[in-house]
Amino acid sequence: MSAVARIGGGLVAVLSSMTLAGVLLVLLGVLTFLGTLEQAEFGLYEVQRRYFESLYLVHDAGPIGIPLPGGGLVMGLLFVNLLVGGVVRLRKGRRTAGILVAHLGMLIMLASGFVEYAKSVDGHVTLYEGDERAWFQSYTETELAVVELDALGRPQREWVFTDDALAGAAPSAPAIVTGLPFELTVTHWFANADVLPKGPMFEVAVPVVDGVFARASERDPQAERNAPAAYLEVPDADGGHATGLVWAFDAAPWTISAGGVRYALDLRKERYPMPFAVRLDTFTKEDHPGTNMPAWFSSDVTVTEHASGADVARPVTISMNQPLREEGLVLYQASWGPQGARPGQRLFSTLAVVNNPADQWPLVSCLVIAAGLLVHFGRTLVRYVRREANREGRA
Amino acid sequence: MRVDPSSGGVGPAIRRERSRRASRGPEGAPSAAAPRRAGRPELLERGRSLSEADRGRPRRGRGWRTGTALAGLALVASLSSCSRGAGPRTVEAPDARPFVGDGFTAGASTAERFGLRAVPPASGGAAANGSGALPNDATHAGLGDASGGAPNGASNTTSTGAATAASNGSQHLRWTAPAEWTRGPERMMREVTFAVGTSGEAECYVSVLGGDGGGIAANLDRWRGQFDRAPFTEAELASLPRIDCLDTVALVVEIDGERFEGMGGQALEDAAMLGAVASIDTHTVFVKLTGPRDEVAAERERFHAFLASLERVR
Repeated sequence: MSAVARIGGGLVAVLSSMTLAGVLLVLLGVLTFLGTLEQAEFGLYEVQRRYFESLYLVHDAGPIGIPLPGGGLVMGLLFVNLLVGGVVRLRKGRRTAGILVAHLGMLIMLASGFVEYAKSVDGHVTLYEGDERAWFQSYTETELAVVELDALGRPQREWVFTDDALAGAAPSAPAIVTGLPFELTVTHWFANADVLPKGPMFEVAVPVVDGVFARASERDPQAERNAPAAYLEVPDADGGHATGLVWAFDAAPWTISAGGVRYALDLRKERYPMPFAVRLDTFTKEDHPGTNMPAWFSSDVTVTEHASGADVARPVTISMNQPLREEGLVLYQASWGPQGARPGQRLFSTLAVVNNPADQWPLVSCLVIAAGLLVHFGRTLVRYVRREANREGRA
Repeated sequence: MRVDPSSGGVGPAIRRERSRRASRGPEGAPSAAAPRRAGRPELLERGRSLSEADRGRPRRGRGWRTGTALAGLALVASLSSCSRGAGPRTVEAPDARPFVGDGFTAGASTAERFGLRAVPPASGGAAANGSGALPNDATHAGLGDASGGAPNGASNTTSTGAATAASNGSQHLRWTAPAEWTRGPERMMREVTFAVGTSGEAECYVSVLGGDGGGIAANLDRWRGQFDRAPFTEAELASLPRIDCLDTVALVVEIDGERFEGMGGQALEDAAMLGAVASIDTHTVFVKLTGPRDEVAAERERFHAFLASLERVR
């Protein structure tokens, strides 16, 4: 046997082993336990990223750090283990048919998790009555948009950079953006920051732009509360460079001119276009009698299809248990505001928007697993009953 | 393990037990000689994978060691791939796409960009103009005090680092306001705000910004943009009226239009604006009076009187 075949055989044996499956399941249990504990301090988003979407992590256990494989690595190996050991190498026959089907169901479950991680986006669209919007924005993810404006200051087209591409930028390690009509350098990046006026009694280590500067803050466990900020440099007309400050919660973008064209540099929550527009016609909220606790709230919206080109509008009611499924998107009635609104005050409605190609896969997975286990244990039961019947017959 | 007193003690008993276990084969599996239960083949045997059990292959003893090595390799690879080196890095721009959003106020000054709350107001302005901020954005909205304290952001009435020092003056300026004007609450990035006119929709305020405040021409163009009008041409800028103000020369503009949209997204029909800009040393002073067209016209004289009263604090 050649060395390659020997190594390959060993690799397949390892990847298909029950021992590996056991170790991986134990690790998943450990990650789930530690992640649940950490959630109290770091919040759901951060824990999900560190413990379940990572390849590795170092768990902070007081004075020492414990290196652990991340959920992404563990689940990836588990997928391979199930595929190689539980499907490919499993002897096919009536005896193992149920197990084979159950393993396939588990593979679908893991695949749905990966597809959701890799492909799904979620966010919200917030509307006052009368507002119409054909896009939604992320709760947590930030992007830097470079928007080209026309002579009247109206946005035309845009280049968008996710925060993953720019995070970590610092004076010693700036992010130099190429491919734009002008040079753009990100010299500072803050995952969460406040913008403050610079007073005369203190100095700061970052540029002061028109009297204000960005001060880094600790990340908020509620990821949607984090407000990234960045310092940007662009060439100015004198051959030098101009420094601008952008902030995820600023009221307007930083506007510059380059080559006779105006651009707006906007740090904002990630935006995703929708193939249809949603207009909020009526928002309805009913409180429990004598309280301000809502018993029911729903949004009557008009959905206008743009994808078909016909601009067909139709009314839809979205309530708490009645989402709108349209063009691969699911819109749920998520919340409303402003909180503590007085009677008669104008309210807005927030619709959660989810685009997950694997939306229904977990349901399919559970059904397949249930079918597989039913077949396997049903067959075992039948065999047992027959054996007992034969034994009684012999007796 | 029970020890038979007649067997010669604990030591020999342990040796016998070890010998017995060894005869069962590796890892406690039944030896080949051990009888198996007829008619009930084991689907899984201890220490063997499902596939191996089905194929009847012998267990590969180095499997776990190989697995450990693979896991270690994966860990090292992931660590090395995730480490981000120091030094400049290049980010390639993606293809441009059509703008996604509802529009925004281009050309806003730094003060206006950071001086307003990011929360959609009750009037729906912020949500309508595309900021789409969440209600809890309020935790970041607004500027903190100049001593570097925690951001306040409770409302637009939060005082700034340039807090007013007296009723008729601020850190940078002194003034004499017309008796008809009512001083409003302190606003972020504003020296002072007055309510003028009778409708409650007109106001006059003064801002003092560092440097050129983002560009004097850019600010004037933005003011025009608030009335949905094209930016000033060079000729128009050159012909703008100039008055003596703050020991220097100030540019004065008058703009009107069918619709005015403020920074917060609030709209006003048939509106007008009186504005003045003056550069003083390292700062730029902006004075702006906006409101319904007829009320603004009625305030023109008082506006100029107010400009004339402005003095620098030295």
